[in-house]
Amino acid sequence: MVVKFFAHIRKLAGNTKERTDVKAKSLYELLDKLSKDYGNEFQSKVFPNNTISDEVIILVNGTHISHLNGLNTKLKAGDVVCIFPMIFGG
Amino acid sequence: MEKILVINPEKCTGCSSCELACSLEHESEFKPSKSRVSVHRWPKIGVSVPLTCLQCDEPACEKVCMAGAISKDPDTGIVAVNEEQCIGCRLCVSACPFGNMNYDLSGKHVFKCDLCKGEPECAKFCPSGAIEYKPASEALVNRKKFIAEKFSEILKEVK
Amino acid sequence: MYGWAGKILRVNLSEGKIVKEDLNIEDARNFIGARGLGTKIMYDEVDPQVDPFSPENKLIFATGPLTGTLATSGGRYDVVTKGPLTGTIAASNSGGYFGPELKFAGYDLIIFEGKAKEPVYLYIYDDDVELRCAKHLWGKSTHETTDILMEENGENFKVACIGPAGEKKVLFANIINDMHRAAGRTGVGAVMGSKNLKAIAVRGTKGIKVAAMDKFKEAVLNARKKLVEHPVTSQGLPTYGTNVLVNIINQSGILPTRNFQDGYFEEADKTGGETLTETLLIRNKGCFACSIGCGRVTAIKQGPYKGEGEGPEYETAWAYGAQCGVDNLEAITKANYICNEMGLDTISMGSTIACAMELFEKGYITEEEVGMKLNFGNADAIVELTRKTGLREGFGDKLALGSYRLAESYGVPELSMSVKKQEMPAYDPRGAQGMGLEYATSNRGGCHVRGYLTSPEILGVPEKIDPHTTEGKAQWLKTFQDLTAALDSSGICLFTTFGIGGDEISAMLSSATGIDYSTDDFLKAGDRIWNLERLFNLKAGLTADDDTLPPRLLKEPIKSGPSKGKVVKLDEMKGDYYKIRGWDDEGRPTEEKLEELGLK
Repeated sequence: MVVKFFAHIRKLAGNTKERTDVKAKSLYELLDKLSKDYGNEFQSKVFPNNTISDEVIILVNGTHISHLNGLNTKLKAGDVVCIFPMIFGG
Repeated sequence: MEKILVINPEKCTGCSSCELACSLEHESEFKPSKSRVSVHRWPKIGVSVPLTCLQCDEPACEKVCMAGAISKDPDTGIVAVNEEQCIGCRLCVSACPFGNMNYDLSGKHVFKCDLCKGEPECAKFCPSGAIEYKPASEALVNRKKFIAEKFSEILKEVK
Repeated sequence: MYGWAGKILRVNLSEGKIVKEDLNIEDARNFIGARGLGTKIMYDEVDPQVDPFSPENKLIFATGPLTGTLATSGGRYDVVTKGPLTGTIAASNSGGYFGPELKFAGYDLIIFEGKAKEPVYLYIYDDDVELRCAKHLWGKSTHETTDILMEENGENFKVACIGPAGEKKVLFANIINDMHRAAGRTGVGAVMGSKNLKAIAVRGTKGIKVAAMDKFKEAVLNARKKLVEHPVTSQGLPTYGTNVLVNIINQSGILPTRNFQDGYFEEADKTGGETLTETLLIRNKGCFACSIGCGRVTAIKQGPYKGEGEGPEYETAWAYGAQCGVDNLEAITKANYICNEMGLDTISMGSTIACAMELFEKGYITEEEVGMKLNFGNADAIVELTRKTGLREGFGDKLALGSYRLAESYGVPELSMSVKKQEMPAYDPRGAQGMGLEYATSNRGGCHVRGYLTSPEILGVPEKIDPHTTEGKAQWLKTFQDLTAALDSSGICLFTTFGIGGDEISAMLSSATGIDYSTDDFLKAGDRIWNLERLFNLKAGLTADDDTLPPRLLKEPIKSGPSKGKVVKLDEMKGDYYKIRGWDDEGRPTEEKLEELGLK
């Protein structure tokens, strides 16, 4: 599994762009593990009270998790999970 | 606690919000040409610096004013112009080392920042923290002096 | 007069005559200003069938009632004309400081008519307005022109001008103000060049009054608070700029790559906002009255692409990056600088080069013709061909016509990724159906800022909707198009809509003008403006058949990523859209609709 971080989230994840060493069966499990790895600041911005912050956008294999199963989205080897802060442009 | 205006030019994005808020407060319209605070821009390199009166402890404008139209309020620290008494000689415009005294051609008097009588609108509307109105802790006073020195250097180079 | 300045300038370039007229307040109320009011004047005064480069076409610089006020990011203006690239109504919006300065000089808008015999520029210092010789400026870049005019007239003057590209009528030439801000799309700069008008230099010292000062201040503070509290406008945009989008659009599988042949660019991160911030960014910069400050002041300190300037924005980083298969951010940024100096639209320029790259790889264009191997990924080519296009040198003369006419000249217009002959921007609609409808129905050809459905479809603002469904997209699009038309016409920046909506904007507009605009009135004004633009286009000869997309997007499924296998199902949405708009099957506004909007 590949976990990719972008924009401010990279900083919260200790200036990491990408992780390939994490294993998790669901998005919940993944975010829980990442929160333990990166501590309070990461958790408060991404996974506050074990819910998904409304200030982040998470894609699993390019699909927004609101069109999947949210936190219960199942993960398997080879999946790509992208975590963005809420962003905009044009 | 006495508060002072602090300028952090490195945070300025050049947006003019201070000029707009100032002119609305003092002139009842959006009119940067009559603003007490002014933003100076170098468009090519994207640099901008807001300048306004920092209410000097020993105001040069007050010292040169022969008409006695300028005075510093000992309680609030505000250096104010009495427009009635001003004779429009503009010596204070020359005396201010920072160029923060302005002249109103139509009204025939000088004008400057009066901190909006204690609630500066420029600081309220500055979106980036380039202008702040804060308690005058020692650190802030030092910063103010540091910045003022820098400005005089910058201005020397620009002129 | 509140909000509006109340005066307009009419400048007849053929006769050298300048007249000051009163603003028609009834029109101002109904069409607000800027894009809307400019369109109203075009509709009333110009035959839509006019040749865009003939003296009979008019060129309007128009501000809105909120331009020059403290309203959130209230520094915008529009240039309105008939566009040479599309043959449609063209309204191109820009920020910076030029628009507000025009208001401070006392004018809501300037109408240029006719054509000057020799190069001129318009000088405005409050009431003093005159046409001045611009022979010494002709051939100069936008930066040189701005420098010279500020030196000649005073550093407080604000300048809008064209570069060599506008003079030479490159069909997607733009107008640059304050050196780095662009009325970018639809070729408005070429119309300016066709009139021998090099620049406008303006200085204004007057004031703009608002009707209800306290209410206005309250409305502004309320709107600003929302922008400050919103993570996008308080954090994302100031830190990373618009280019922060590259990665999310790419990971969503809709970053058009190599002339829309794919939707995923493997090297996208090298061209994105995060990389820009770490490498070339010097600082961020704000336009007039802006609390966001998304502008990028950048520099390339050394090497073959050495230079300094502003940008790239997301669209530019894409047009020269993924779209051309180039992952060299320095080359992309350099090409951006050249566009700004030459006065070229970065989206159309980048995408036209991408089209040429596909033509080259498919054997239509030879190495001999271009003078280089024009494969996707050639970083030097994007820089060199941009310069050549600005000057119309060599192969640049062909690129100057845009991708549609280029591809057509080789017999394959379908390889142009354009709508109504204007290049589409940086979202592959095969993975976002609503954006497909948005491109197809945009009144100025391929464009993302007429109804930005990327917002709900990809980014989840104001709510997340499924990008792959067609259902309900027509209604979403109509609302976004109407809101955007009204917002552009008010004089504030589209980016404020990430944090605020119709309620906040109409509150600012009402207290500024003293005219009570409810949120519904505001949206209805947008509907009215949209329909008037449509009427202009229909009279110009466009039909429902023009509301379409390149065949590639309708027939060739996207190759990889989450949108794999998808095409745009335009037919499922278009009929719905016409119905919701109150148009007949041919896309013409019905009598009832026109009556409802007061357009009869």
